[in-house]
Amino acid sequence: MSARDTFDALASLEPEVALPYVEAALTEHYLEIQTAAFEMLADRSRLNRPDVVVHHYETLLPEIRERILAEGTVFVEAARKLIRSGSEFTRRAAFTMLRDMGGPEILRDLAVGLDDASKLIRDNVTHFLEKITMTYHYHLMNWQARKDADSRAYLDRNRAAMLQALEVLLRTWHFHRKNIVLDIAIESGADAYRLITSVVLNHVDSLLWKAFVQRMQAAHSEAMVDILFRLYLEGLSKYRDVAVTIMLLRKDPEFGTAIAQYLWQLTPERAEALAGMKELPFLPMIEANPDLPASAAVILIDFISGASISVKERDTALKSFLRSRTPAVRAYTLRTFRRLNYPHIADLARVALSDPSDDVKLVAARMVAQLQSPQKARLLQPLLNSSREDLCRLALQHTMDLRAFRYGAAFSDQPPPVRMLAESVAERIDEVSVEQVVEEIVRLKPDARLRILHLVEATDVQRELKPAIESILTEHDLTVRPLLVQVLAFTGRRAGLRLLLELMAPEQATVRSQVLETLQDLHDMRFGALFLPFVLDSNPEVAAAAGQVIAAFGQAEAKLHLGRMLGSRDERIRSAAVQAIGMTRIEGGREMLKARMAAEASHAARAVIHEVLERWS
Amino acid sequence: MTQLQGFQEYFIDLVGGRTQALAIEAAGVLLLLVLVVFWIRWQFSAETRRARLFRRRFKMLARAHQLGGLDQMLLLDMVRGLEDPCMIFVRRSLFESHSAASGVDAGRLEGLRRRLYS
Repeated sequence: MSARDTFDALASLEPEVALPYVEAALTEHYLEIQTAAFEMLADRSRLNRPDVVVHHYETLLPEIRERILAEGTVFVEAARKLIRSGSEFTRRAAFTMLRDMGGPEILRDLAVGLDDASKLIRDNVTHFLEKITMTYHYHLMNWQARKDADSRAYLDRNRAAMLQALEVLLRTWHFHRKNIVLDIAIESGADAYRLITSVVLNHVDSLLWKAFVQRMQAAHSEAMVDILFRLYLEGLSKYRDVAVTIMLLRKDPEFGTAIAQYLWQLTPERAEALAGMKELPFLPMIEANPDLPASAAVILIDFISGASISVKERDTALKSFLRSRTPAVRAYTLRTFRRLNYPHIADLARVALSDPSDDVKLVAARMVAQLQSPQKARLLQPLLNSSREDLCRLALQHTMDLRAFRYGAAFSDQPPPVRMLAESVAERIDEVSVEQVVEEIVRLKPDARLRILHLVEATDVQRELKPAIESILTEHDLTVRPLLVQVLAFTGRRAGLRLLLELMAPEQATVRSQVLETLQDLHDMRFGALFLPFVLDSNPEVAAAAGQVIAAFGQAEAKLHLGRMLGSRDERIRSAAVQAIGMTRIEGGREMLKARMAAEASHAARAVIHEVLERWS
Repeated sequence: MTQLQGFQEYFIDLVGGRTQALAIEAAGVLLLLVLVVFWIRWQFSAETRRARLFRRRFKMLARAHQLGGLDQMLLLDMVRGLEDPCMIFVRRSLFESHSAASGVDAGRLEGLRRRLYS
């Protein structure tokens, strides 16, 4: 025996007789009874009265409600009829049931209640609409911001229904005044564009129009930007005015980020259309927000640099990014100006050289380095102080410009034998060796680097170069001294090298020993041979000092160069080589001279060889 | 017939005249007719028919649950004053609200509850 027996017995009665008992049973808060009553009412072959179920929906037990929601369609159909024709109690129950269905597919039905005669129903429906639209909006934002898979699935399931309902919700906005509906329309982007133009912006300056403008100011998604640009490019002039107004009103950095995200994902056709815009109404936002995130700033810089706006506008906007707190943005802006062949690039680069970031300085330094300006070296010189190697290296290249040929060139005004010797020595020194010298300078401490720089800058030998050399000779930092000879040689400071030889005068014992200590650190005979041209110096003391230095630090190299000169066809060259061998007294020199004597045809040359051999013995 | 005539004469003697006796008899017949009319009207009125209908349905439902006479009386007692006693089969709340006041022992009530509503 059970409650089922009662309903089986009732089933044998006429439907109109059984209905009051079943309906009464449906109001009982006992699951067995309510379940049996529900099944009898819902059963198409028995009472088939879903409308009665909907009528009592609000008093039903949760288990029964769940079954209604699960079975869905038949009850939704009944509810749809009841919301239009039922009593207030019934309408309220029907709306509640539709609300519990939960999805955007019932929004159109719920919207019917927005102008219901009952205030309670109107309020309920408004509340229901808001709840459902907020759920949809949540998933919309969750998908946009986090790419959440569940939200994506929810949107895929409900997008079509929501877009259908959106039209009704926008048309009834004056009843519910829920801005969340506008937010959904905005965040739906292109999908809702037609609705926005046909419903929202249909009446200029309506309340809905104003609310839309307000919500557009609060949104910061790429969908919002998409709508903005569509309004600007595709619509009537009144839509363009709205777009311009919104862009001008927005000064928040999120707007800039949203524009950048939008631009990043553009199709080539769309990008072309945007690049053709003759004005960019969002530029005030960029000027007001130099601190946009780097990723967004870079995209905006690219877009602005390729836009069809006036050059003046473009440059002003781009200059805003030079105020960014992110060094990468400032550096990228500088590179963009260079790419655009900005006519005042030198001024920009000059300012950027004092930028707190080394990255920006490096970009600026490269720009300055490419300039054909006599002030280039002066501008780059402060960068030698930098602790960053690549920056320092660049500055070095353009302030000192160490090159092997400059050594040879420094003797270009000398007699041919001297010149030949210098060129021969320079030829033996490859650029790799010079680069190594540069690297060693880069590795020096900044103050030591500046001492080296003083050598290069010095123009007056006695007042500037001499003190600069002496300061290095007395330097305790042993990494600086060995570079003295190479720097003087590769910057073409012939006078400096000669000065070193002068400082080897016997009466200056202390300085002489300092010079010798310095030369001992050379470790490469090619660098010792840098003094070889001086053995032919008109000053006997300098020539003697040079001979001593060669004998001590560059014998093998000297033998190579002088041996080559001894074979010269020019008698004067051969004679000079003989003199140089006599001065350096290199090992095997005497044998070289004797061999030359045997082969020498010139009387004058033979006389010189003879004189040197005599002196040597 | 003779007996009826004998009663007639006795009644005339009793009331003291033929005319009076006839008048009283006519009034009596009239009263009887009125009573019959009232009975017929009561017997075939909508309320009576509905009550009869309800009682039949009650019996049908009681049979469906195989309820004995005492249980039926107990249920009818619970819904006394209610137009349709059948409601007790679908409205357990009625049963629960009246069971406490019925004075019936809990075991019997529990058995009945299980039979009707489980």
